[in-house]
Amino acid sequence: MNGVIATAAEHHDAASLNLVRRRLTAYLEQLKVTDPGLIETLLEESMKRAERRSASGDTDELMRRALEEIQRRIDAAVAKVYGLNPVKDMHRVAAARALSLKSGSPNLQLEAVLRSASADDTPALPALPAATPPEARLSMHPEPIAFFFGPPSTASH
Amino acid sequence: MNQATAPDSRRQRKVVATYRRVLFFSLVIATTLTAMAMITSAFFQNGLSPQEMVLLVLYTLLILWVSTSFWTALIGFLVVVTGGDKRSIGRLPPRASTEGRQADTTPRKTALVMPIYNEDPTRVFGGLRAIYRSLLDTGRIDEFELFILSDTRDADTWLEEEANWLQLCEDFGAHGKVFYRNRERNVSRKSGNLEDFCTRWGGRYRYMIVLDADSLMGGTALTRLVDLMEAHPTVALIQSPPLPVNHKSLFARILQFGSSLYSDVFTTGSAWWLMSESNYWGHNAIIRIKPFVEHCGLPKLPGREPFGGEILSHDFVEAALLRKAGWEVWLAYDVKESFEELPPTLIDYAKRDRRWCQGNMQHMKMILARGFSGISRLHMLMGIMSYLSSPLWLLFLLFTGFEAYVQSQTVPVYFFGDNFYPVWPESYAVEMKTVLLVTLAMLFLPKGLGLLLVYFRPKVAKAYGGYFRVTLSVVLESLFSMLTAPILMLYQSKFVLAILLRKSVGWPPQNRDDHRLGFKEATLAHGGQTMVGVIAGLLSYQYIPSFFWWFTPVLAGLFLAIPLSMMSSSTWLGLMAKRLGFFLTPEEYSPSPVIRYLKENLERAEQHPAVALDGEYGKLMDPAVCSVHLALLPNRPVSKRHRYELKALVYRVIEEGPERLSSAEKRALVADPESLQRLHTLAWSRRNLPTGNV
Repeated sequence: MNGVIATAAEHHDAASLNLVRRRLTAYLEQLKVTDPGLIETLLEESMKRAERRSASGDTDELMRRALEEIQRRIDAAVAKVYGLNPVKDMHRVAAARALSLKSGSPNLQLEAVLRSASADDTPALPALPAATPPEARLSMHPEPIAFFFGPPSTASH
Repeated sequence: MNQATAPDSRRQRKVVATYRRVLFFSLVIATTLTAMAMITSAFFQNGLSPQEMVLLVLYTLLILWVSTSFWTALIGFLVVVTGGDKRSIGRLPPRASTEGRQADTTPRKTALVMPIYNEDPTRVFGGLRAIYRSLLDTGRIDEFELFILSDTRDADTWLEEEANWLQLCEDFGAHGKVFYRNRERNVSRKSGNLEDFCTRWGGRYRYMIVLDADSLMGGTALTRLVDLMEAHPTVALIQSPPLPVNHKSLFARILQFGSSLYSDVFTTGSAWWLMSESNYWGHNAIIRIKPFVEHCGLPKLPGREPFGGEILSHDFVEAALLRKAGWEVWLAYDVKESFEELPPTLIDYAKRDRRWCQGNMQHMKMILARGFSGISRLHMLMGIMSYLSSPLWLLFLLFTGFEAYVQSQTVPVYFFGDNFYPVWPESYAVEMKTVLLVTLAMLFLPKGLGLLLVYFRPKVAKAYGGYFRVTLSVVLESLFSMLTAPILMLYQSKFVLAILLRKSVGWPPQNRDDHRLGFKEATLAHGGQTMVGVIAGLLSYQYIPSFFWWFTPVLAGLFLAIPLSMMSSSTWLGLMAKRLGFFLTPEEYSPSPVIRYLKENLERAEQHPAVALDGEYGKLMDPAVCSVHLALLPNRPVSKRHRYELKALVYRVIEEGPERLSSAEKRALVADPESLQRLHTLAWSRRNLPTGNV
């Protein structure tokens, strides 16, 4: 960790770096990642990569890139655990992430997913939420209405 | 086989329906003619002046309307006290025959569909959870699936709805049982929303039960409706009578009390004479999907809004189309556990009226549609009259005042011609007072009948707060409705006039939350009415003092409009009245499980609100909400041009802040996965993030 901070400290003041770290920690806590060790590892790796990619001294960019890196790592972990492609299966990865965040089951929590990904442990893919069932289409045509006086109705839509 | 179990043939039902309607309309027409005869005898004494002629026409129309209501209530009362209607849909024996129709082979499954539009997600999902739990209690949950059909445009509400949907599925283990869909374009409003459901998923279900955002139906009501449809294959729609519940403000509690007490006689009476030609009220009704899809595709009406264009009050038209195709439409007056909510204040009530008024006035054209049954036309006419009666009453009052003024200016001539003896002016006071008393009796008697039904049933009386409290509540409710009637009369007259002048109204979402009206809001809404009351009072007192005193109930309502509206919006007063046992309803005294579930859900939501990760970026801050949303967004290619437009919008957010975007722009951004992720990251990476969110 100190290596990362040392590199970043060359370009950013301590207060800014502190802000970035606090923000990233808060973000991870929102994702229900509370293990200090896991948080520390993610912070170190994300900031290291973000530092390499952001303009020198631009704390806003550092923050944004570090957040993006955390998101990328989480998606990669989710995709790996559930055997999905993080780019092609973007929506399914999002569904799995959503399930992790909304589910009460400890096995589905992101923290567990992140650990499983690093341990090459692949639990069974849970049934991802389907918002709509398979379609069973029927046709519905506008019923023409004629009037005693005046023109008839027109087709809808 | 005795009569009760004998198959009830179509012919038999037709004969009974004809007999009942002949009796009903004879009573209505006889009452109208009697009232007309009384008023005519008074007018004709000295010949008919033009203003008397107008008064006569207006009175005839109004008394026809009033006596329809009166006889419906009286018949309903008699049916209830004699043990109910043996020929109601709830008591008819099951019919094995489809009466020549093809048997419905679609899976015996029912979709509970709730179309929503920018509604409060806490209330919507609180209600859905209660309904789902109540269905679980019946042990017949497998027969049902739940569909949330969102037409919501507001980006934040959309995100919240999705998060709530997933949470509901998780909490009840209801994945694959509860579905959510947000339409990209809300074509044709609610009817288009339902049509979209029917055309995409209609083949999965035999029935759909349509719910409003504020509907609440218990499992017993839902399963009963399904059983009734199964028992009667020639029925396409059964409407349950929804009772208002769950209110706190004084205004809504008074209305809720009135509906609870009086609706029995009205719905029973209506069901008695309408039988299989009842109406559809747009929600809390079960519909057989096959005939609905075949016959209820709504066309556009010729001409422009407000009379032409899309059909707004689609429910009446859909019922008429089903009837036209030979299907039966029933009102199951004895189905309980069907509830809805009311607007919390007088102003919100008037706003809802504005929308409904336009929908009903549009039916002026539909009355002249070819092929509709006479009863379908009558339903539409009654819908129109429920709004048109206001300007008619207003005109009636104005002409009465004018006539009174003319009379007051007429100098009596005692000697004329060769008469030796004076000719005394004749007094019509007796006839006019009789007309007035008969009219008032017909207006207020249904309330008395509702109260009488309570007196007959001690247990029910207890649930209404006991004999003393329920009687006093009826008196207070009558007083309140007397005071608010002129206010609503002016509102509705204004709405009708605006519509006749072809001013259309949008589709604003309803305000269903309790909120105390401030002086400014009340004055802006009722200031004009108060002025009308003051001016009318001064003029009548100055020029026709004898009329003034008759006029005081109307003037009092207008004069007190502002304080009345403010006071009645108070939840403190509403709850205080509840504690004292006034305006109490059985649904408050001993709520059914589904109401209790809703209450628990709302209380839980109040005690444990979702973590407020909003601020200027709204729900986009919440990673869970964003994940659900992203998962549900369709995979759609975006054109280069649109991609540039979206990028430009993101830059506007960065430079000017998200609050500068319009609702449509926010929705466009949120509907695009790439922009959504970018905004989510932006929301978390800005420097000025409120500390509460970190």
